[in-house]
Amino acid sequence: MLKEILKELYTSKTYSKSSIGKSLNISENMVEDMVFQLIRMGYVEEDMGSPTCESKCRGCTVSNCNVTPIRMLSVTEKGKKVLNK
Amino acid sequence: MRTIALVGNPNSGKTTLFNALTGSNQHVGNWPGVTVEKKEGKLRFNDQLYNVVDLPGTYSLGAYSEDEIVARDFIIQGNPDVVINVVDATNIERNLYLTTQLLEMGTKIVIALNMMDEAKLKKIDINLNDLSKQLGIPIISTVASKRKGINELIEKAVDTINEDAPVNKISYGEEIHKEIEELKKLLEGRTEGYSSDWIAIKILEGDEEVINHVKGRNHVNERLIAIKDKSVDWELEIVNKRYDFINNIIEKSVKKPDETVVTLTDKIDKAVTNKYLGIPIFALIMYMIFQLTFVIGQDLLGGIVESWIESLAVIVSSFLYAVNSPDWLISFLIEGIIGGVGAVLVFVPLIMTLYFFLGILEDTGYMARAAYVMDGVMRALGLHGKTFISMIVGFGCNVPGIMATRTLENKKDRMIALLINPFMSCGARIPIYLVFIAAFFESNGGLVLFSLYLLGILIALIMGKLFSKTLFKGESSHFIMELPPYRLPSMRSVLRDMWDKVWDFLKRAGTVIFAVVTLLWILSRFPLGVVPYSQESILGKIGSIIAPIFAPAGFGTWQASVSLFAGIAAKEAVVAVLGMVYAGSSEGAALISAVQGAFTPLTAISFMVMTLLYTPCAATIATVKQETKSNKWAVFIAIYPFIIGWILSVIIYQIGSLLGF
Repeated sequence: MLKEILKELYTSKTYSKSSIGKSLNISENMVEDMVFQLIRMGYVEEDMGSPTCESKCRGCTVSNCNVTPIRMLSVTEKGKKVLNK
Repeated sequence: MRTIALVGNPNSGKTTLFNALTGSNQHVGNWPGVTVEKKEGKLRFNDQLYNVVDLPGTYSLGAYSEDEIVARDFIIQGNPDVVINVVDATNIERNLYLTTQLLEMGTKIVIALNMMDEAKLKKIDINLNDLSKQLGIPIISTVASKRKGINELIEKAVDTINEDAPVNKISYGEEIHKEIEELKKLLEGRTEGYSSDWIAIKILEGDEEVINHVKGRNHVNERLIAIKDKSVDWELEIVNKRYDFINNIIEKSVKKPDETVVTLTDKIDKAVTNKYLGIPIFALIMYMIFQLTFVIGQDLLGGIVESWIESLAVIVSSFLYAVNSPDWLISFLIEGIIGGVGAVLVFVPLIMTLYFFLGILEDTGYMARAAYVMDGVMRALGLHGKTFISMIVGFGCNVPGIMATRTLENKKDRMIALLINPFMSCGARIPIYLVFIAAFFESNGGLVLFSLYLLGILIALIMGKLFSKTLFKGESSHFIMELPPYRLPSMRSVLRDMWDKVWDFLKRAGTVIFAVVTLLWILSRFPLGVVPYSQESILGKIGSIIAPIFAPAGFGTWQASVSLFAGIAAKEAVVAVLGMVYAGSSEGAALISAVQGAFTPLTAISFMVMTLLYTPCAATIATVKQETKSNKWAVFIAIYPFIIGWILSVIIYQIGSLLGF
């Protein structure tokens, strides 16, 4: 199941829990949890796409960083190795 | 005293259950050596006192975080007499992953299937008997928040203390099973009270902590090398088997509403992420937002702040005259501060409206779709799709926009994203456009604003393509974006976000713009004796030196030149300076009519394009320096946008003039 999700993440254009869940016949919660495990194990990388603002956005007019994060996922080299086996 | 440990996922209601079990009889401390909170309490049942330990909420019992390590160390080394595994019934699949790990540990477990009331509301039907049988673990249904099932749970937990630990029924497959047995043989008598099954599984999973614990024993070392040599992804396979086990159980014991129906999100996404319709829909939505911004921010709310500032100017000047203030002070406060800062502040309603609509767009989840449809364009141009995310952030302010490029791991992708970000029209540039739109294009305000934003994106994409072909060659990595379900925007979060942005705008007007205006006011009065705001003043002379550069673009006046120069400190300063040098104490309508006298529609377009594209503000340049750790790139980001802006403004003006505009 995890390999199938990994494959979906590698070949799909978007990550949609609902569509992966439908194609693998598992719930969206299960998909999310499996993706979480893949991230933990280093097969997938997660990126929230927004600035961290750790060094403070200095002085510009609209300088707050309250941007709704757009979540992005990518399959790592470790993940690609699994897919190539 | 017997010990009962509570373990569960975050938000499973574990702490509520802990409170229900222990009441006020609890104390809080820290786990040794870590900053994780340790909560303990006492429970009296049938005249027996039990120690209840609330372990940190965790999804897993690996070694990935302090919480996980604390929880698992306590279960292994703390030897609790029984573990109550709190499982959220509304998210049972996810929660059972932790249960599978408890099974592997060989500990005595009782499941508190919590939030059963919410599960019923969500029409999740769980067959408790069947679930319990399949897991081999007693299960008690609870609603901790309403203290339902607490007594039964305590009773069952106490009974379980005297029973055997459940048998782990997870089938790991032949290869893993064989390896577990081999390892168990090697570890025989050396597990120091730990479950040998668990240690073997953890070794196969590559758990460094456990491996270090057993390392040094010859046979084990040889086996570890042999395990590594086999090209099996042990951890992936083991986790996979746990999920297979959970999935089988869920299929048999849990009935949930059908998730296979086509949702509204699916239907909307079919159109908005469509290969051909996606970009036109995105463009249409942005165009509508700009139109609405003018209808609401200008037609309905416009004039409010302006009338306040005018009233303030009247009150302040009346007071200053009444107390016989010196002329220079009156001029400084009325023409300099109220005229300069006020010229920026009159646009607050428009900025508020624009950010309100952009906030709604963001909160509904549409921005992820916009980024997705643009991803295709970015890739076609050889740019990384994530670049567009930083570009969206740049619409607010280029500083966080540039910082958002940190998410690009590849240096090539990051440098391109960073160098094109200043072309994204930030909020500080809006007042400049608004002055010129009000002066020349009032009936087409939305269209002009939309076109400027679009032009910024186009120039960014062209430059990105150029950079990827020249300065930074190489391949971009692949990633996919999550498309979250659409949701109704939360007015609270939209309004808070809008207020944050407006507040920053106001703060800037009161600090940086104030400082710039003060400096320029001084420069406009010196040398002493000159007519204020005249070409003979220092300000006028600086402007006159720069002006010839802009003459081919049609706005070679000292006033326009000095305003652009001031805009490098902060973009709003462009309007503040125009307010000072053209309108003095009267901003708003007076400034607009002064601009109508000094510019033509063609030079107005040329000037707006210049302000959109030319040298970014000082904060942006400083951020580029900080992010690239290079003076060279800071100088580059200051110069190359200026050249691009100048070339385009000149082209617009020269072609427009040739065509008779």
